[in-house]
Amino acid sequence: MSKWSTLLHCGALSGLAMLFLAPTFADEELRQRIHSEYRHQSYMLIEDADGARLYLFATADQPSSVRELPGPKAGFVHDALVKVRSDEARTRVRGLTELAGVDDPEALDAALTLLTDPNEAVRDEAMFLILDHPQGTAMVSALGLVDDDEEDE
Amino acid sequence: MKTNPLYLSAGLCALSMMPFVAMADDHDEDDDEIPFDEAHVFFELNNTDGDLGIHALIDGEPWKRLRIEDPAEKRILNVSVRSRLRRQGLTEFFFESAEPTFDELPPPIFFARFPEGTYEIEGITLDGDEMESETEITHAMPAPPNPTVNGEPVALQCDDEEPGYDAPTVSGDVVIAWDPVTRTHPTLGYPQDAEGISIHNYQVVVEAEFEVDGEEFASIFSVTLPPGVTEMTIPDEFLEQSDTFKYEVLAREESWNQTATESCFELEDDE
Repeated sequence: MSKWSTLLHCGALSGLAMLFLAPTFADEELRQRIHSEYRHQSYMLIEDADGARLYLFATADQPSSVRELPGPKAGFVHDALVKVRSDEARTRVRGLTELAGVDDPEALDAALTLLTDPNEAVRDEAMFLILDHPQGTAMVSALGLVDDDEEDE
Repeated sequence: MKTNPLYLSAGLCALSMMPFVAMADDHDEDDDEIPFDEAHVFFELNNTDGDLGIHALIDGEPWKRLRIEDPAEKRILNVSVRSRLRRQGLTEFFFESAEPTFDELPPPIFFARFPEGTYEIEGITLDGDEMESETEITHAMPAPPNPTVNGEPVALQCDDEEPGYDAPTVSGDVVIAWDPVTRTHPTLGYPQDAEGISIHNYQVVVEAEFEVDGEEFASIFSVTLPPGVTEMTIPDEFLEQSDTFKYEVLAREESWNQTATESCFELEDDE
């Protein structure tokens, strides 16, 4: 057995142990997606709070490899993104408020979409989200947004 | 993952069309503004040092935006809670303005800066609901309390490094007492020396400064009293911490304006 495959097998055992010890990190959707895509290969999926790693064992055609997979979103971000899609303006406002300062591209995308919401409070909150988003500052002038807090009366 | 440029284009496009977007606003249809639990804007006069300041105390359900407008509807305070603190929201908010001495800012100029009338306090909850309360600012300042400590009148100089230091020395139970405040200030605000002022509460604050592990430590005993109570016995447990104390007695009238008189005392050495 090669040194690399020994390492992989050790990793597999650790990974299995982690799967049993940390069920809270389970992302069933991710597991099903990986299973349907790689069910004909030997693989191991290790999930934790920071994301997931997919270990693909070597086959006749390709060498073994490791892939980093995006982790499940923090619970509050996921919940907030659900709220911004609500039919109720009040809930959309709340969802955007809960995403304030969150460095997540989906939060920024949601805010950009809601800039044209028929509800003024939603539009205002979307603007604040963009102003406070790490990637939003670059768009502020392009979108013609004005940070009222920096307005000099 | 990067932001989809399509969203940006859509956003730009849609923004240019914003004037034409129907403003069907189910949020605006709700005229019910939530009042703050506490909404006070008021003046504090330190009658001993000779300075005036404007203070505010606002409290209510979590908010992410707060504004105060003067009677001319000019915004005088604008607080916007941002980023991760916006997710949490604020509830209680208290501020004190600078309090320049009368040499720097004479009282008539101070009062002209903050005219009497209705000040509006507006907020936005985390859900985007509007909050609003109104508070009346008056220029009626309570007359300064005239406290005694165990019958000894206020000291004129409480800085022991200055000439004329005259902190009274007291022993036994320490009782701070004062006459009821029934009139407005004799020389400040409006109306002056007028009867019929209604006291909301008195406050007694006693402070001792000493060192703990080489660091300065300020120990404070503070009590708010109803208008009918005009004396307070300072607990022995507090007095055991030091032998020199500063104290102040504040009288607050119904619109929350308050006037403070400061003084000091020393405890008699038991040894």
